[in-house]
Amino acid sequence: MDHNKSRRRLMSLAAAALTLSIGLAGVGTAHAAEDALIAAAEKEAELAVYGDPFVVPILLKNFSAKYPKIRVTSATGDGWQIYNRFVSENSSGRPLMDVMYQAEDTVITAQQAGFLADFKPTESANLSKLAIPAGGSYVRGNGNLILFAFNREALGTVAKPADWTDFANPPADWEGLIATTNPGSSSATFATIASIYQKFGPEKGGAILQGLRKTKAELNPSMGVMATKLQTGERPLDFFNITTAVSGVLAKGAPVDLLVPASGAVAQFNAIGINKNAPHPNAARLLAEFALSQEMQTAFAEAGVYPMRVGIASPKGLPDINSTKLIELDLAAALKQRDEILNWWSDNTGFKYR
Amino acid sequence: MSKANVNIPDEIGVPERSNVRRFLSRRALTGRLWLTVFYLVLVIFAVMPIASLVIRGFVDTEDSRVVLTLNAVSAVLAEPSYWAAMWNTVVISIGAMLLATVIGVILAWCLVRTNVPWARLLEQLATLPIFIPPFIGAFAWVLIGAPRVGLLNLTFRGLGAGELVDIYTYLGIIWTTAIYIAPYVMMIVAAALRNMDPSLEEAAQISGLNRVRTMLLITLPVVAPSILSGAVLSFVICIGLFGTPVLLGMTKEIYMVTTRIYTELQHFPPNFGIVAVLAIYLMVLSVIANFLQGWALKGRSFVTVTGKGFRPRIITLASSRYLVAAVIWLYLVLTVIGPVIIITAAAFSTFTWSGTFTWANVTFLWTSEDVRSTLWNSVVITIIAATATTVLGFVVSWITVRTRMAGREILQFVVLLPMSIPSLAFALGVSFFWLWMPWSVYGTIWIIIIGLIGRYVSYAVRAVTSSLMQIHPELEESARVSGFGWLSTVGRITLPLVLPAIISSWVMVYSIYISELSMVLPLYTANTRTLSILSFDTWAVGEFSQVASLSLLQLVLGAGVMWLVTTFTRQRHAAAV
Amino acid sequence: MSVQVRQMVKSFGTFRAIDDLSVTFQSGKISVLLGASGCGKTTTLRCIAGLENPNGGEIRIEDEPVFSSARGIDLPPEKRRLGMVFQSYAVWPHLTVKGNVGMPLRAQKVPKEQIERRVQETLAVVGLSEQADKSAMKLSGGQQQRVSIARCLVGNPRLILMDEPLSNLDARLRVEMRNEIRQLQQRIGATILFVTHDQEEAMSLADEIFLFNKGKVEQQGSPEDLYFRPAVRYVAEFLGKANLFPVTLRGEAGQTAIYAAGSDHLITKGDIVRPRGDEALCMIRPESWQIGLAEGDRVGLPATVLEAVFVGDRRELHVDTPIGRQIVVTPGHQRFSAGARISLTIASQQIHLLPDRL
Repeated sequence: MDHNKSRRRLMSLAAAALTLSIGLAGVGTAHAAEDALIAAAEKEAELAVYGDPFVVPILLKNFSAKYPKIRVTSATGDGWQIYNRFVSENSSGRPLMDVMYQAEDTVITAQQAGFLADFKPTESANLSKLAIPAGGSYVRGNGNLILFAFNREALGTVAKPADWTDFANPPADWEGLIATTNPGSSSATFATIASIYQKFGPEKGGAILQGLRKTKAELNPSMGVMATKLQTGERPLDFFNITTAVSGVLAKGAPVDLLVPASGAVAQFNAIGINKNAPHPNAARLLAEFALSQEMQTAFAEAGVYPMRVGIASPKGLPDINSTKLIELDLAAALKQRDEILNWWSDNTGFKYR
Repeated sequence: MSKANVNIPDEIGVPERSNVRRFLSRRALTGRLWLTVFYLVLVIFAVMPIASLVIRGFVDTEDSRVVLTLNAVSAVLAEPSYWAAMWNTVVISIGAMLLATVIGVILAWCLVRTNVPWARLLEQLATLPIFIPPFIGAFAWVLIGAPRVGLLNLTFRGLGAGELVDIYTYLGIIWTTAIYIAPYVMMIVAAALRNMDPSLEEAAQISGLNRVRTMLLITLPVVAPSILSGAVLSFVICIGLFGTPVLLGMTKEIYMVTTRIYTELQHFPPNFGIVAVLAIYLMVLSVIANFLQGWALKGRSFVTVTGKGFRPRIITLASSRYLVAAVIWLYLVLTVIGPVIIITAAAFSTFTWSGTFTWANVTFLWTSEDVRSTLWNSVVITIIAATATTVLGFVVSWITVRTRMAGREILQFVVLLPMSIPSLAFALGVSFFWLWMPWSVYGTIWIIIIGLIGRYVSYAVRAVTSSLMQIHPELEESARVSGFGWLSTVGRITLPLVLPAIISSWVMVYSIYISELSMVLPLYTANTRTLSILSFDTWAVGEFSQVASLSLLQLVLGAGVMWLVTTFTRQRHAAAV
Repeated sequence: MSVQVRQMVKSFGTFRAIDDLSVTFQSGKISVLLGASGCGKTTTLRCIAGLENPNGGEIRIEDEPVFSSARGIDLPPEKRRLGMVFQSYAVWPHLTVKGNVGMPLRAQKVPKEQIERRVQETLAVVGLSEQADKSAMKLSGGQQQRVSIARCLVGNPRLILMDEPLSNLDARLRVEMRNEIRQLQQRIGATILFVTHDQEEAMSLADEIFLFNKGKVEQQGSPEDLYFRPAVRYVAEFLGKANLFPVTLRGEAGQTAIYAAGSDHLITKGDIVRPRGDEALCMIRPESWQIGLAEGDRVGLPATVLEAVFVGDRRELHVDTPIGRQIVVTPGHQRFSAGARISLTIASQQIHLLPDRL
């Protein structure tokens, strides 16, 4: 009896050891591949990242902390400006950028132009379904929500918008309070304008845009500048703003509120593109993997950026992306109609996009 | 008469006969070789960017063939918004020029020619706006004069006066630009007033003119060439300004040519032809301004520039001198002290104007890796470029002042060419050129350094030349005859004598370089971001308080270092005498 | 032992400053290069110093070629072992008196203590021992000039070049310094090339004057030669004042009669050195005319005083004569007033005849 007992115990122990060792071996190969990538990346010792001015600094701060041997530098700015810089460098045979981390539309364009290397994340299983768009051959690193933002103190008793359509018939006291941005240079703005275009159609959507003209809205150079004016109260009502730009202001305790429009907010994503001619291909891949890692995605969420990984909640204080009503946007279709949409915006708002 | 340039009237000369073989010794040949090298360097630094820009405006690639085209030109001419940008540039620049000239002349006159108390200190303070980069100045004025929330409007509203100020207007931009440029006019006119022979005015008063008429009929006309050159300089600076119109003009769609170039670069697909043509616009504007200046000064010599230090005639104001001083102080509070205090307050606020204060934005300066790396880049670029600019400027002015080498006039022309070209346009030319060249300068700090040198070497040339001209060539010749070679002569005699000019030229270009934004904008890459780019990016993402603390850092680096260098050298200079 | 310039040419652009100049300057002498501005004198000096590059020709100092276009030689100034005093003095403002004077020795890499000693000696020669440690800029013009001379002497140069060194001094100091330079030269026996446009300075200093005109030497010789026996009209007019008028020569050698051209006015007759031909240009220095009354058959030229200018030691008369206006100089104490009628006579030895055409 005792014998049997001990034998069974021994067998189970052996089995456990076996499973453990098999498991360890599996983990071991995964680790080996990762270690090789790290070693190769650290050998390259440098990495240049172009992209989104809000998210790239957060990403690189964490990356540098983890891989101090790799010297990371960055150029950030509005998507197309950065994209143009990348293209003119590459086409004159001087590729300097390794990774592009910015608005989806620029990454799609770069990919269609054949500038990007293939990138299949090793941990795709752990990514949320938003991370890999249908039919898209690129990966989104993070999301942002575009919604209404206003300064409650500066606005005081002035009515707040509840839905996009409220701008079609703006109250008189909105005059001089509204700020917006240019879809020609800002990808997030383009995504939003395209969403309105697709959701409401040229007629009804055009009426919304005409409301901006009626209220003497101001055209700001960037979402960040708009956030500043929101915070100071100089322009207390944004036609819309993006969570990355506003979360910093919110964190400082400014009297700013976000509001999901009744017809839905717009989700906008930053995508990861690795330059086909990247001077530091391994470091580039390491950064791309790192961006999607549990560690970084958690850090994103803490910094007010929407993560793309299952099991990590939306940032505190911001609407949950999974339960928020979103306007369906077919970005690929919108990009094909880019000129049409931009002209539509221009005609209705009276602003020049170029 | 200068012995180095024996100017003998031609009519007493004997015409050159062509049958005499011209002898060129090795000594002269070596000289020519060096000169050729300098030509090449300067042509590459100063001329090629301009040439590239012009070429880029008129060529395009069609089916991978390079073709000559007027597409970009006609596109620009056909588009009303470019005309509007041109119009805005002209209107704002002329407005700022006039305002800056009026302020500069009045300040110069009050501070040099009257017994205003503490004139010396006031004069030094009044030059300070130069060291407040336009971007930062505009930033401060947003805090002061924005509608709804600007400090002035808050005050006026509190007083029940409503909103009186809006900085996002033509007038706002003109004011913000003018107070930045006025010190240049003031310095130029003050120098002229100091160099003016007081007997010119004494003669007028003996002839029976009263003080006011003496000033209007004698003093002003005599210094008019200086006023004019100050005004033209203001205009040229103004058309090339980027920071001010970006911050103040763009939201109200008051685009200037520089901001159009910037937005053009932000759009997809980019049209570099249009960008180049817009930059050529700016070039043409400044060429016209300089041409008009030359035309107006034709036949007028700068009688005031004698190099002789006169003791200026001081006009004694009675008790009104305190009133004048008070007005100047008010001006300084508005233009220097106020903005600096407001930026400081913003830097220590959690957000503007939360009323709660924090160290976070300031500790950010030494905890942020971005600040560290961009600061390092800025300092390295600035020190290398300022030193190289000064050295090159010294060599060029030495060649033009001291030698009769063939082509030295061309050298001077080549150097002066980029002076009237706005930095943003010039930088675009630099990037076009170096992207075409086989050597990989693009993407390194060197392209920024090369751009800065090419654009600003004329500043150093001007500063050193005027000092070198006052040093008699016989001082060098006597060293040569005493047995010193060319190099030792320069080292032992020339350099020590022009040292003050060299230092002031270094400090001047340093203060420009450390905060230069529009030159760096098209040339920086991930690796070579500078502090000015960081603060611009920080502004774009809306971290207003951090922009304020970065601005403070830039002020310290600019005005602070300048103050240090001048104090240190002045002491050393005083010790040496 | 001399400075020789052979076939030197120097142009500035299309202007030929020196036109095929060949000249020899004697050692141990003061040679003065005299001429109006733009005549090429300073350019010649600067070419010898090596501060200008001639376009062709040869320069030898004590038989050493320092420049030769034919042989491709062009020594830089620092290798020519010269001393030079400049018009502006060129005293280095950032150095002391001692620093200035010691500079040539430092260039020669002379040991420090020797420099100190030789600088003191040289400063003693020019009388500046007291000022040795002063900043050069604190000195008066005359003292700066002495510093400049001391600096030029200290390295024992084989040749001293002086480029209008006195023209920035006031009149009294100029005369004083002129004498000092003369004495200094006699004491040390230096070879000095001295450029000036001031004829009085030239004559009082020179062993030999080289009168430059249009890039060439018009005439060289002792001051007396140039003053009394100018070879050409330019020299006669450049040095001092000269009455010049065309004359016709009659009679034979030994007993030549000189008549004003185109008239029968006999100027003088006697044993006169006459140029070729019967036509000549007559030069009479204003102080050579004798003033008297026309008496008997004594040759005399009737004259009317137009103007009499008192200049202290002398009186300058502008007179009208049948042969044209003449300038006459008499001692200051003789009074003449405008309108006075006088008679002018001249001794035949006081007459100098030049070839007519020059």
